[in-house]
Amino acid sequence: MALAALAADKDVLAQLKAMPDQNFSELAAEESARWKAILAPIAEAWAKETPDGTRVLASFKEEAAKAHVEAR
Amino acid sequence: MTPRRKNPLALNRPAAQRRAVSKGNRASSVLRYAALCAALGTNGIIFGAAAEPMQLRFASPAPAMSPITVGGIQPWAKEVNEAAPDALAIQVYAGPSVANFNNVYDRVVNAVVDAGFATLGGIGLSVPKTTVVSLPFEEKDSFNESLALWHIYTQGRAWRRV
Repeated sequence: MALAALAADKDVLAQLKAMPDQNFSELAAEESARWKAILAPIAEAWAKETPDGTRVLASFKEEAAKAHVEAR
Repeated sequence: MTPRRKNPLALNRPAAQRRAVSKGNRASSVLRYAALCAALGTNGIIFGAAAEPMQLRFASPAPAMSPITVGGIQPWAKEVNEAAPDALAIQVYAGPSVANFNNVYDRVVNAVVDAGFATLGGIGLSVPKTTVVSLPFEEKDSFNESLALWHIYTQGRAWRRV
């Protein structure tokens, strides 16, 4: 299911990029770091407000990192 | 402090079991519950041997020709049906006629269908831990998010009280 959604995302993105008058830009590394710092309190607040939030967030980060490795 | 939210699956399970016992169809109810959980990415399914394949109605609110239905749900149903032809016969109801993204959860709980495909956004308030995937910059790849969420659930880590 997730693969189907991912394939659809890639397909649509490719179609959009092929269209005239469309501009695409990637977030620069330093800009990405700046946004991460600004938005970090959101995750911290979520962890405090959600039951077992701290453990869930830590587990999610760990498993997402593993998923990146598996995907390669 | 945010008030503790009740686990709708835990609350509905005894109710579903009571209904099933009263109808003498406990296996069907358990399957319905398990299939819902699987569709939500939260649990597995236990199958039992049967003389006739068990008919399962699976609601996919996404349009019949959408990538989700064509590329995800239909192939999954076909694969399951072919893997267990004597045990299961999953029939996919695509499109919003039987269930839409707002009511698919209720449609399953109320036994209109046996299982359904739902997006977490529609029921996010009922399963607050799953909103971890929505936190900014934690993960941007939906496939990796799905995989991570599935793993922490199936491993039982930090997930017993949804």
